[in-house]
Amino acid sequence: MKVWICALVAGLALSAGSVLASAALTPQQIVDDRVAGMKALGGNLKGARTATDAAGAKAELAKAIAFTETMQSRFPKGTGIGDAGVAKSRALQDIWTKPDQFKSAIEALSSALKAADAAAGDQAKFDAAFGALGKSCKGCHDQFRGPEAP
Amino acid sequence: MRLLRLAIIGALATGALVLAWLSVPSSSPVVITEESSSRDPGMAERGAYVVRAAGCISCHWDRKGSGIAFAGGRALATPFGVFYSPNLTPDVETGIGGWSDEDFVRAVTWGEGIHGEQLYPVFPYTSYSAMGVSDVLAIKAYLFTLKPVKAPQLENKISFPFSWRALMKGWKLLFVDSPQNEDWPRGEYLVRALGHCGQCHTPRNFFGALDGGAHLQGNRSGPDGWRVPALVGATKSNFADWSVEEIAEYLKSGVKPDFDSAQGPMAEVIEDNTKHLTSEDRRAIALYLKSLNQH
Ligand code: HEC
Ligand code: HEC
Ligand code: HEC
Repeated sequence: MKVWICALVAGLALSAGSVLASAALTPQQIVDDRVAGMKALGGNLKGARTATDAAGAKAELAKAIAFTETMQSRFPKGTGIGDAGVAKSRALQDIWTKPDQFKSAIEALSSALKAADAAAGDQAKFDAAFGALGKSCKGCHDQFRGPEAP
Repeated sequence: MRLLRLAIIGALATGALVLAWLSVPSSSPVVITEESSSRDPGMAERGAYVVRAAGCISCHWDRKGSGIAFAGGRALATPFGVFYSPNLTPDVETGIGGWSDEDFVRAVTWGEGIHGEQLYPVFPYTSYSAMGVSDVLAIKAYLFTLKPVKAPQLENKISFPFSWRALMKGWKLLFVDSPQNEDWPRGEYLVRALGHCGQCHTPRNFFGALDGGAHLQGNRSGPDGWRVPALVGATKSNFADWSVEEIAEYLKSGVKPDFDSAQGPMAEVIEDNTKHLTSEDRRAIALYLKSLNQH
C-alpha cells in the first residue's frame, strides 16, 4: 500500500512536471530535470528536421511546443549557479534579475516553433524556419547560460 | 669543499652566460624571399580573407569596451596575469605603421617585437609559426589599408618572473618549432596554422605550452573559465559521430547536431572566423577533424 502511494506521488510529480514538481523536488533535481528536458527538446527538433513527412514533423514540434510552455516554471528562483543545494547547473542568476528578458527569450522560442509548425510541408520555408529556431535557442543561451563547470 | 666552490662558480658562470644570451636579441629563422612582398597586387584582398581565417580580430579588438577593430586594448586573462593586445592599425606612433615586411613576419611567426623584444605566447605565434610567409604578408597588406588609429599600448598586469620578457627566449627554444606546412592538406593548415584551434582545444603543460602529444584532446581550463571539449576520441557530445556536414554547419551557424548552440569563446570563433570562410574551407576543416577520428 505504502509503495503504491509512493509510486502514485512520484508519478504525479513527474507528470505534472512543473509547479507541482518544484514543490516536491530538491533544487538539484529541478536542474537535472530541466536539463534532461532541454536535451529532449533538442531531440524533438532533430526528429522534426529529419521526419519524412509533414505529419511526423508536426508531431515532434508539438512535443517541443508543449515543453516550451512549461519552460518558465522549470526555472524557479533558487535553482541557479551558486544557489544553496545546487551542485551543478549552468543557469545564470540573470534569469531572475532580468525576468522580462528571460520571458521574451522563451516567447522567441515559442513563436519560432509555431512558425516551423506552420511551415511543415513546404521545404524551403521549413528550412528557413529552422534557421530561426536555432537562433532562438542560441539567443537565450548566450544571455542566460554560463560555462560548464570544469 | 673545493669541489663545492668549483660547483658554485660553475653554476654562477653558467647563469651569467644564460643571462647574457637572454639579453641579446635573437636572430630568428625568418627569411623573406624576393618573391613575396606586402605590396604585391591583390595582397590586401587576399589578406582580408586570411585575417578572418586566422582570427586576429578576436584579440586585437576591445569589442566589449566599444574599441575600434584592430586597434587592440582587449584584456586577455591568463594564469600568468592580464595581457592587453596591441594596436595593429597602421598608425606610425602607436600601431604598426612603421613596420617593415620582415618586422611583421618576425612578430607573427617567431614572436619577436620590432625592438627585438620577446613577445608572450598569449599571442598564438606558436601556431602561426606554421603560416606561409605570403599569407602573413597578405595580412599585413590588409592591415595597412585600415584607417590609422591612435591607441597607445595599455600596460600588462603580470607577475614576476613572467613580467621579464627575456625569459620567453628560453621558453621558445623549448616549445616553438617551425613546422613544415607545405604538404599539409588545406583543412590541417586551417586548423593548425591559421585557425589556431589547438590554442584552446589542446591541453597545456606546466609551462603553459601546448602538449604536442595531445593534439585537440580538450582543455579543462580554457579562456574565461570555459571547458573546451576534445575534438578527438570519445566526448560528451559524441563529436566523433558528427558528420562532415554537421561539423561544417556548426562552424557556420554554431548549431550542433542536437540543436544545442555554441557559446562563449567558441561562439566568438564562429562569429569572427569560421562563419566568414568559404564553404569549401569549412568543409576542409570538417574533413580534417573527421580524419582524426577515423581509425
Ligand atoms: C529561455 C531560455 C532558453 C531557451 C529558449 C533555450 N534554452 Fe536550452 N538552456 C537554457 C538554460 C538556462 C540552460 C542551463 C540549465 C541548467 O544547467 O540549469 C539550458 C540548457 C540546455 C541544454 C543542456 C546543456 C548541458 O549542460 O548539457 C541543452 C542541450 C539545451 N539547453 C538545448 C536547447 C535547445 C535545443 C533549445 C532551442 C530549441 C534551447 N535549449 C532553448 C535556457 C534556454
Ligand atoms: C589569442 C589572442 C591573439 C590572437 C588570436 C592574435 N593576437 Fe596578436 N597579440 C596578442 C597579444 C596579447 C599581443 C602582445 C604580446 C606581448 O605583449 O608580448 C600580440 C602582439 C601582436 C603583434 C606585435 C605588436 C607589437 O606592437 O609589438 C603583432 C604584429 C600581432 N600581434 C599580430 C597578430 C596577427 C596578424 C594575428 C592574426 C594572424 C594576431 N596577432 C592574432 C594577442 C593575439
Ligand atoms: C578561444 C578558444 C577557442 C578556439 C580558438 C577554438 N575553439 Fe572550438 N570550442 C571552444 C569552446 C570553449 C568550446 C565549447 C563551446 C560550448 O560549450 O558551447 C568549443 C567547441 C567546439 C566544437 C564543438 C565540439 C563539441 O563536442 O561540442 C567544435 C567542433 C570546435 N570547437 C571546433 C573548433 C575549430 C575547428 C577551431 C579552429 C578554427 C576552434 N574550435 C577554435 C574554444 C575554442
